[in-house]
Amino acid sequence: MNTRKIAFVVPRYGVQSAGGAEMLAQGVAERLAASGNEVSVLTTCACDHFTWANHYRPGRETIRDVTVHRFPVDPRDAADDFASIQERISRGTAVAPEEEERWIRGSVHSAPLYDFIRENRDRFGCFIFLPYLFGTTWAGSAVAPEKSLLIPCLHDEPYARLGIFRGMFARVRGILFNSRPERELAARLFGTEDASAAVAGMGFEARPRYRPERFRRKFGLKTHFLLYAGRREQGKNTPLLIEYVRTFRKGNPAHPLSLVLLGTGEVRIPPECAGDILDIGYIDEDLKHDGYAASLALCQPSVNESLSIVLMEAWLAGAPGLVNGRCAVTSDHCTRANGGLAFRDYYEFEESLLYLLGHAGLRERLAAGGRRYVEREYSWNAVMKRYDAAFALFDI
Amino acid sequence: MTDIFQIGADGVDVAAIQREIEDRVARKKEAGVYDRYDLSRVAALELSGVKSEADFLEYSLKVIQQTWDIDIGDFPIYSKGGILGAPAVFLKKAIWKLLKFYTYRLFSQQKEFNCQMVNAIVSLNRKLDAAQK
Repeated sequence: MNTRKIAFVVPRYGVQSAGGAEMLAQGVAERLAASGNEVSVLTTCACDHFTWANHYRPGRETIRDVTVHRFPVDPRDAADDFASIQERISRGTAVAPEEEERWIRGSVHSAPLYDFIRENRDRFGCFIFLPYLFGTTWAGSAVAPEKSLLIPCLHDEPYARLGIFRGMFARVRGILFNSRPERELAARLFGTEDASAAVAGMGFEARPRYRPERFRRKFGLKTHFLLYAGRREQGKNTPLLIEYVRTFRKGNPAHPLSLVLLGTGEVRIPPECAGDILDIGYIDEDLKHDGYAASLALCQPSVNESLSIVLMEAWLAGAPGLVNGRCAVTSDHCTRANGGLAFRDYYEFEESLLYLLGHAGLRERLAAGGRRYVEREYSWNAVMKRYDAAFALFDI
Repeated sequence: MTDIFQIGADGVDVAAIQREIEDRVARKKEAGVYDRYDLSRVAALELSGVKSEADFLEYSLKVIQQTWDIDIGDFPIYSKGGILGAPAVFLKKAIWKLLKFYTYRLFSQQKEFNCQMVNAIVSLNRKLDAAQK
């Protein structure tokens, strides 16, 4: 493997409640550094992705062989009509190009970070930007587009249809996708060509041991339960899952089933479900993985996924997936892996659960299919080989 | 586009299971098993996830075809607890049963209207699709 000088550009880095894109950046950066590359991360001083307030000191530090440069976030330059434009975009209503630009200018930006790229563009072989939706990616990738790669973490959402992003996808040197359906979505939306696109993703490793009983004991779980892990919000369909479980419990009293919710974000649990839905919140990683192992299935109701880290983790822990069939990415994973079931509405959700509960050994067989899939396609070894092939494809 | 992923791991056949689940759902729908379900909250949440005008139309068409057949008996009455909880539920249920006698005609007319409206909208949409093609 050739030694390369690579800089990741990500709005936040090394924070505890990082999203999927930040976890991906950290995982890949550390692996590339461990395999002899010189890896830097250019990021902001922000910790909270709602306020984007400067939290960390600007400057340089080294985290697990990766040099992290932090730059202050610019004062927000949100136009007066930012909220109204955002509202219209999120509803899927078309907005004028100048409104799109005003909206992205109101996102998170850091002029010192862009200056750093401009001044050091010759020092690095490439700058890898992620995810696509942030100001740092849009403006940063315009500084040295011939050296810019994009890991978009793209979902099928109204924002992805903005003209400003079509321009960004067209100007960068190459795009690294997390999954095949994500790449197909980009081809449909932006006409992304094979010569500038590759599927890479991130890698996963099974833990040395899982202790499902520890999780059950700690939270007093005596029945089968579905596990949800991740941000709890409307965009991830957490309220829909709660409603599905409420309806299931009411319609199937002979099948006791609970829902355990992990992660951050507020959830509203209907009072009549207080005994069936357990909100555990944020827990440590070991316990989370024990939770996967103890669950009947990991339920991923979100349609906004480009990879789904929790699905991969659950498969390694021995739990099958139960995913939203309207999400091309997770349903594709389940079909390819033979590792889980997909529902497109409540009826299929209920029937999938009854099928899982009624077929002894199916849970384990699905999970085994998922585990083989992760080991084959999303092990660090497989992923790093794909990164190497992509760098060669993009001539970096 | 080069396919770098293998298709179909060994073990269970998820595609076959999915087909079986779809068949089961269709049979249960035909048998009226789901008629007792109140899916109005589910429908509202599913609707909020719809992203484009085309998706919205597709989703709405699906929902109106599932929900036109309103159920007069589908009216859960819960107790809020306390000493008056159980008698209050009993009283509300009794009132609802008495009202049912008067409202039945209204509901049956509404069902007939819903049915005709759904047929008309679905048929119009098909004609629109055909014209656009």
